[in-house]
Amino acid sequence: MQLPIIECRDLTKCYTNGSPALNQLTISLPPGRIIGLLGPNGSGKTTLIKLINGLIQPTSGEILINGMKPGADSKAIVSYLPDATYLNSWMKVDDILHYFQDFYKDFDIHKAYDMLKSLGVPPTARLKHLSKGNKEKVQLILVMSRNAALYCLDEPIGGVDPAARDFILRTIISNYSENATILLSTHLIYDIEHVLDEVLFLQNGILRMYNSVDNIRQQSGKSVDQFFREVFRC
Amino acid sequence: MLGKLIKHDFKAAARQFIPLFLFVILMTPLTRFSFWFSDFIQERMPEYSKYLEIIPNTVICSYVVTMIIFSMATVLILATHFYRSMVTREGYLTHTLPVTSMQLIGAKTFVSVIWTILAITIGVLSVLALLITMNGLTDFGKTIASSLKEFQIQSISEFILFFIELLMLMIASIAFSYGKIFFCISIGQLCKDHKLLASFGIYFGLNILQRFVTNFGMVFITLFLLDSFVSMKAEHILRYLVMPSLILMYGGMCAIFLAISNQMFKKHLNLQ
Repeated sequence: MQLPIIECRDLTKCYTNGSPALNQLTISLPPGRIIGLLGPNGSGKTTLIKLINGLIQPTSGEILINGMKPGADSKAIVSYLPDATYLNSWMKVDDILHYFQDFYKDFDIHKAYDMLKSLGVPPTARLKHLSKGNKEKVQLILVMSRNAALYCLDEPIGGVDPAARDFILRTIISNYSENATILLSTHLIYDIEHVLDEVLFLQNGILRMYNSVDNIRQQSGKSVDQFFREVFRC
Repeated sequence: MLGKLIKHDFKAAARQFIPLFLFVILMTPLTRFSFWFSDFIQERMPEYSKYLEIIPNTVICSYVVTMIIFSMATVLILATHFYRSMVTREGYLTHTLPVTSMQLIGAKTFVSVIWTILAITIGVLSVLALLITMNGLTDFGKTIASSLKEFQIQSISEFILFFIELLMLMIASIAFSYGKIFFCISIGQLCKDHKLLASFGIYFGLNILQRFVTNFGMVFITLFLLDSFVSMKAEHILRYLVMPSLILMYGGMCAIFLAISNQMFKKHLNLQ
């Protein structure tokens, strides 16, 4: 029996102001799905993604990635796209590709070069000379050029124009390996609904719902976007 | 993985150090020429020295300022590199690499020590190239030889051992300095806001504590242990007691600082 790709047991994270960003989250996500991590601002989506990647530590509870605690071994199978640019601006695109190739055994540099070519970004360009949109696309290419078991994409289509959104979604769908899991956090449900297998709704750090997209549509008779608006009505 | 981390950290620091080293290297012959030019003006054109000396004096002052900035910049570049790559946005890249925190910290400490040794070498060579004449070089060699005799170093093998001891002391003290800086940054990153300010505060506090402990230690040795050393020769005390003790102390403290830093980044990483 396959291990769940992500398993949370009473996972809680409180920041210094005391209020829990995640509150006793218990969930088990199977591998091989595209999962939408949805919720309003402050619901704990980014907190969960950071906990998966070991960038913050839980206040209590446990999180396991493919049966492992976040560490060097789990990071080798998780490909992470943060919600902002994080690459060294002085580096050239070439440099960062070789950097990823050095550290990640599953990084396919030829795939990365092909995607850069289709994007029209010269490998010799310095990251600081690229536009914000192109920097984000380079980051996405780096992430999707890995044959990872889990892709964590934090707001990959937030703050970009509709054409760029289509490019990003196409890149995600056409470049992830089928046995892998994609965990995609976003507010823009309408744009990504058609690619999702399952959705996870968070609100105030609590799991409101975990269900397949097909079930939600059948049971509610609505799209996920419409259902979300109803569940999280202000 | 450690080798790869060292390689990339080395390259990242090189882009700032190489231009700095080149500037110091370029300033050296320029400054030496300024010394010669100043002597030339005083010998051949004393009536104009008031005006012409401005040029060599400016170059010599620039060299002094360069060397002061060079020594400070070395530590600043390496401390900033550690802070940026571990605690700021760049930390998202660093801390998602498939490596342990100890490997990250170990690589950065190693690279910091190497670059500092290189910087010290460039600095010393620059000063020597500036000041030493051919006669001075011979006198310098004689001074070194007589100093080594004072330390009872009379054979090649003893010289090599003494050199290794000196090198170990230098490496241990440099590693201790960076271990202290990295420790302060690792504690400072626990704060939600003003992480850098917190790190500075901890660093100053630690320096005050270090001074207090050192002074206390000196008083203790003077009051209670001085009699034990009266019968020993000064060069023996220095070579067989002080230097090994300092190596052990610096090395031990560096290991403690790095171990605590490792725990901070492993268990309490706070990239909010």
